[in-house]
Parts: sequence; structure tokens; C-alpha cells
Amino acid sequence: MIARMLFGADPFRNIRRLQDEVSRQEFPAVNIFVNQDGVIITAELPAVRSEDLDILIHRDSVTLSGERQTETEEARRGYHRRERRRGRFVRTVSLPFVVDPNKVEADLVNGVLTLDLPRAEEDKPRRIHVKASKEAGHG
Amino acid sequence: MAKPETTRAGTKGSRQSQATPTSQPELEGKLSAEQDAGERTHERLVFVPWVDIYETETGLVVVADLPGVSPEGLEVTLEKRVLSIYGRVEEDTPEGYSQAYREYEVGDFERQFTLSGDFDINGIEANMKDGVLHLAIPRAPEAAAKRIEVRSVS
Repeated sequence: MIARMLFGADPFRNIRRLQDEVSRQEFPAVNIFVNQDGVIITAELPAVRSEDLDILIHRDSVTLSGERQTETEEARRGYHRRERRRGRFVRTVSLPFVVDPNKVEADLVNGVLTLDLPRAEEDKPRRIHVKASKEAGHG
Repeated sequence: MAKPETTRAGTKGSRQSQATPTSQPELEGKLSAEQDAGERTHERLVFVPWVDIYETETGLVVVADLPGVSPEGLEVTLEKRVLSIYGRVEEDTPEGYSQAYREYEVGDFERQFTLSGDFDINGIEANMKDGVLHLAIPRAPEAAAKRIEVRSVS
């Protein structure tokens, strides 16, 4: 890849490190699971309706944005507790590889988002078979 | 939290532990539940859910963030005046995957409140939507409005 040649092994390393430092208190918190075929990201998003959640995928980054819905204001006569957070959020997560945006599946069930991000076919590592030539036998 | 704080007998040489204010948490992260309701029989993480509690004309409304709790996994009880919320959450590691990065832990949710005044147990309405529990607790009719006239003695 040209980017690799220009910027070294991992051009996003510094960005990722900065992101790690900043993101500790960010909403939503995410968990990331991997295997050789892709990544699964989960996030706790209570009070976020699927129509209020926006997922943007670009190469190897995922951006989640949306709004934690506030209920209709009934006739409230004062709060005893008010701990739940509300309002808009934006969070970008870097992935270890490029994903195929056409195969991404997103599920929002009981306030938990599960994002299934398969690795792009052209980004998967390939095994190269070495053909042994007859002349180059061991001495 | 409406739960009475458990006072722990300090062992010799131990410093008095500072009481942490749990009623108004400032952090975004999850708050681990104290095991003052006795030891659990299964190893499981338990968290205190964030809640809003407000009064309405007819009673009390409790709104709790319970991400990952299905309506079947939720248990709400009211015994005497203690309202208990318990939500079961399934482990989140998908099959065939290994964990690469973790920012939040997965566990059950539990919280108890002591209600002041009389409430109508049978009239409680519970709703789960988008991982949020909405509990409407109406006041008991006899307790709704009982005004006592004070006569002035002249």
C-alpha cells in the first residue's frame, strides 16, 4: 500500500494513541472482539432508538453518533434522582483492518449495539505457495 | 441510594474508609454494586444502574438504564416499602471471537430503594424499551389525599 510506504508501518498509530488517551470517558464505551474474518463491536446505548443512531464506516474506522432520547415531559413535580445522561454523542473507533462496508451488520437490541464488521476480502492476508524447482534440491 | 449504609467493623490498624457518595455519581462509567445484600451464590459482576426518579400527579416514576436486560430477564419487586430492581445480562463475547479491547464490563444490574409513603403494589406499571426500564408507581388511594383540618381553638 502506498500509504504504508509513505508513512511507515502504521500511519494511524499516533492518532490511535491520542484517541486512546482521550476516549476513556467517552460515550459510548465499546468492547471489541476479533477473529481472522472480522471484528465485532458492542456498545451499551440505553435510550437510543435505532432511528436515532447513525453508523458511518470509512475504511478502518467506525463512527457512532446519535442521541439519547429524552422522554416526553409529563407533569413532573420534581426529581428525587437525576443521574441518567442525555443528549448527543459522537464516537470514532479505529479498527485493526479495513472492513467491507457492504457486509456490515448492525443490531440494536435491549439498548446494546452489536456491530458485525467483516474484514475486506482484499485486506485479508494471503498464503503464497512456494513452488519448489527441481534443480534447487538440497545438497 | 436509599439502601442503608453498612457499617463495617474496622480491623486493628485499619484506617477509616472514606464514604464514597453513591447517590450522585459523576462518572460516565458503570458503578459496581456493593455486596451488602449478602453473598451471592454465583460469580457475577453486579452494577448499580443510573436512574431518574420523579414525582407525578398520581405517584412516582422510576426510569433506569438497563442495557442488555431483556423484559424476561427483569425482576421488579416491592416488599413492604422496599422496591428492588434486578436485571440479568448475558455475557457478551461472541462465539468464535476473542476479546481485543474492553472498555466496559458486563454484569447484572441491581438497585433497591426505600419508598416513602404508601404505594399501590398492584397498580405498578413496568415498561422495558431500548434497554430502559420505566416504572410508574401510583400512590395508594387512601394515601393520595387525606387532608386534616386543623381547627383553631379560640
